[in-house]
Formats: sequence, structure tokens, C-alpha cells
Amino acid sequence: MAELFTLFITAVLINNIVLTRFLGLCPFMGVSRKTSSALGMGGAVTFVIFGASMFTYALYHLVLNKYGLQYMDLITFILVIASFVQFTEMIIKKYSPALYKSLGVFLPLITTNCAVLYVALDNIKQGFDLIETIVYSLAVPIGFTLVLYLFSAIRERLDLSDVPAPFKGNAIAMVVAAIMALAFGGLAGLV
Amino acid sequence: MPGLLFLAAMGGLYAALYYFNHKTPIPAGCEVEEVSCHGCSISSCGKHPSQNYTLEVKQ
Amino acid sequence: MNKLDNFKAGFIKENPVFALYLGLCSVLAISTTLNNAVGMGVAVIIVLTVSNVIISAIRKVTPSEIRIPVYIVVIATLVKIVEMLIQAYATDLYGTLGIFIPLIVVNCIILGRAEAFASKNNMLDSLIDGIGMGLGYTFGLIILSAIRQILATGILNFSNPFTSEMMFEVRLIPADYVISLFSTPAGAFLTFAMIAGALEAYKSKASKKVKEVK
Repeated sequence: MAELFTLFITAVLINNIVLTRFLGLCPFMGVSRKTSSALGMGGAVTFVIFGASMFTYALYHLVLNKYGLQYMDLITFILVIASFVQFTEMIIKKYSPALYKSLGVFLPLITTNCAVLYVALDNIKQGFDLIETIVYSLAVPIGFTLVLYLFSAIRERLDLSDVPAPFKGNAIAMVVAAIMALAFGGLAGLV
Repeated sequence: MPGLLFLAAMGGLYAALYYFNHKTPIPAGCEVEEVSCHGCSISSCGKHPSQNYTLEVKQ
Repeated sequence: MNKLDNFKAGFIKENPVFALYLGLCSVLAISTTLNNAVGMGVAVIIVLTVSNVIISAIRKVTPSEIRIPVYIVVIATLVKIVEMLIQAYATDLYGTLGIFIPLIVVNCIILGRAEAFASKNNMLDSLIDGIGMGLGYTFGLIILSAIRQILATGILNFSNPFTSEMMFEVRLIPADYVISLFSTPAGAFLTFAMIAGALEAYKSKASKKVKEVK
């Protein structure tokens, strides 16, 4: 139980996927202008990473490992992730327009999000069992959502302040990310 | 040989799901969604101009 | 001249890393040393060029509704082949790049160029565009890595990835004056921001000059 808690805290705060591993940055720059869209993106990412990790974990251990097809892992994982996203978007479009309005529009963007494929591959590489996979696949996107929310709150204020012209837009966002990375780096001795 | 069959099966599944998703119209009430990610170059995103993000309204 | 302009645009004006902000995940994570940068850059050039050519070759026979799945399958197969080749022939590089070689699949540049260019132009133009964008990416990556490595360790070195022998090593800053911040994630973000800001300033000055001349 203690190891699971350590795994969770490490994935959310200490080895945060955006600030230490640099993954999930592409939507970071585009979606993080308002806090509401940041929360929507975070919710969608959490759902996709958790669901896709479950499927890829099951597929790897039940099919690829058994039949000696480990070299197919990359192609299989990316196809599973993409199929899962398409299927989810279809279901949401049909059965819940309200949900589609808040987070459905972000779903196609998550297919090529580095973070999803990273978590799927990392679960295999670190040799997690099922419980550890569940904890890790929930912790990583929670960390992503946390940082994305903080980032969007800062950017909302930054848009109203006097930024030097060459840095307006994405470059100043990178400076903010640098300062946040420094701040989160101070949590390194937590567990 | 089994690898190729598996690849074809997975690819076919993805292509089929993608096609069905493309055909499902966006629900009513989402037409006035303004695209807040101008100038993003990620062309696989559903909102990118090249994806013909048409707002088909479900009657 | 049009082909040459296309090629040059990929380097500075439309540099995929610093102007279009594509493929950021791998750029920031890989740019710790020059070795990693060159290795990753070459891998991306190979995948980008070959995928551009293949997608351009099959552009007439892929149904338009499922072109994204087809592109993803092509790119994923290529990346896996490149990864296995690196694992076999350049094992040190495989150790340091690690999980970022498979992540080339979701590098926004490759799918983006396939969608925007290769699906609409012939094979030779796609080949040149692939090489141009790939070289622009590698160029940006090398600049970022060189700055980070010089400031963080003071040494600039490069070793042959196939035989692991050092090809050159030069110390530019004495060991007591290095700023180890630049080997941390915060330093990566900061260096990237400075270069992106500098590029933006250069572009706006260049366009201001054009306006004055007119």
C-alpha cells in the first residue's frame, strides 16, 4: 500500500510528466489560455490515458507476449490509442451532447499526445502489475491536469500584462514553464 | 505471418472506427464553438482547417 | 527557385521547432548533449523523408476518409524499423535516447507534413520538403543542445554513434564557471524561450525592413 502511495505522489508531483519529462507540451501551448478549457482538456486526457493504458496492458500481456509478437508493440499501442479515442468520441457525440461540448472537442488532439503513448509504453517497460498500472495511469494525467490548470491560471493574467513584443504568446509561456519547473523541483525530497 | 494479420486487423479496426466517427454528426448546440487554438499546426487535431471541421447539425 | 525557397523556409522562417512549435516534447527532452541531438535529428530526417515519399506515392489510392489511419500505420512501421536498426547498430545512442525513439511516431511534424504537403504533391517535392523540414528540426535541435551543453558542462564533444569513439572534444568554459541549471528541465524551458524570442525578434525586424523598402 505504501509503495502505491509513493508511486502516486512520485508520478503527480516529483516526476511530473510535463515539467520533468517534457511530454504533453503540444496541447499545453494551445489549450492553456483559459482555466475552463484547461480543466476540460485535463479530464479528457485522464479518461483517454486510463482507458488506453488498460487496453494496451491487456493486449500486451494476453496477446503480444504469448505469441512472441513483442516487436509489434509500438504499432499496436498507437492503433489501440487512436481507436479508443475515435470510439469514445463517437459514443459521446451520440449519447451526451453536454459532455461533448465540454471535452469532446479535445479528444482528437489527444491521439498524437506524446503523454498517452509514453504511459502505455512505460507500463510495459517498468514491468508493472495490474494494480500498479491502474495507479500509474491515473497519477500521470492527474499531474498533467494539475500543471495545466496552474499554467492556464497564470496565462490568463499574463495575457493582460505588458510582455515584450518578441516574447508574446508562446515564448513567455515557456519562461513560465521554466519557473514552474524550478518550483516543482523543490518537491524532490518529498518521499 | 501472424504479425501481418494482427497488424491488418488492428489497422482495419481503427480505419472502421475512424470512418464511423467521421460520419457521426456533431450534436446540436455545439455549432457556435469558436476555435480557440488559432495557428496551431497540429494537423491531426479535429479542429484543424484541413480536417473540414464542418458543423453538421443533428436534426 | 521555388524548390530552393521551400527548402530554405524550413530552416529559419518556418523552423518547425522554434517558429511552429511542433515536436516540442522530444526537442526539450533530447537536447542535453550534442550526440543525442544529432542522433535524434538523423532518425527524424530518415522517418520524415521516407514517410513523405511513401505517402506521396500512395496518395492517389488512399480513400480520403481514412487517410489519417493510413498515415499513422505507415509512420509507426517506419519508426519501429528505425528503432530496431538503432538498437542493433548504435547501442549507446539507444541507451540515451531510450523511450523517445518510439515517441517519434506522435511527433507532430511528421503527421503534419504528411497531411499538409505529402498528400498533395508529387514524390520529388515531398522528398525535398521532408529533407528540408527534417534538417530544420535537426538544426534547431543542435543549436539548443550545443548551448545547453556548453553552459551546463563547459565541454562540447561528439562521438561516433556506431563505434563510440570520441571524434572531438573541446572545453569552452572552465569547470568552475559552469551553470548546471541548464542541464535541468527549467534550463531547457528557459533556453528554448530565449531562442524562440530571438527568432521572433529577428522575423519582425526582417518584415519591418521589407515594409520600409516598399
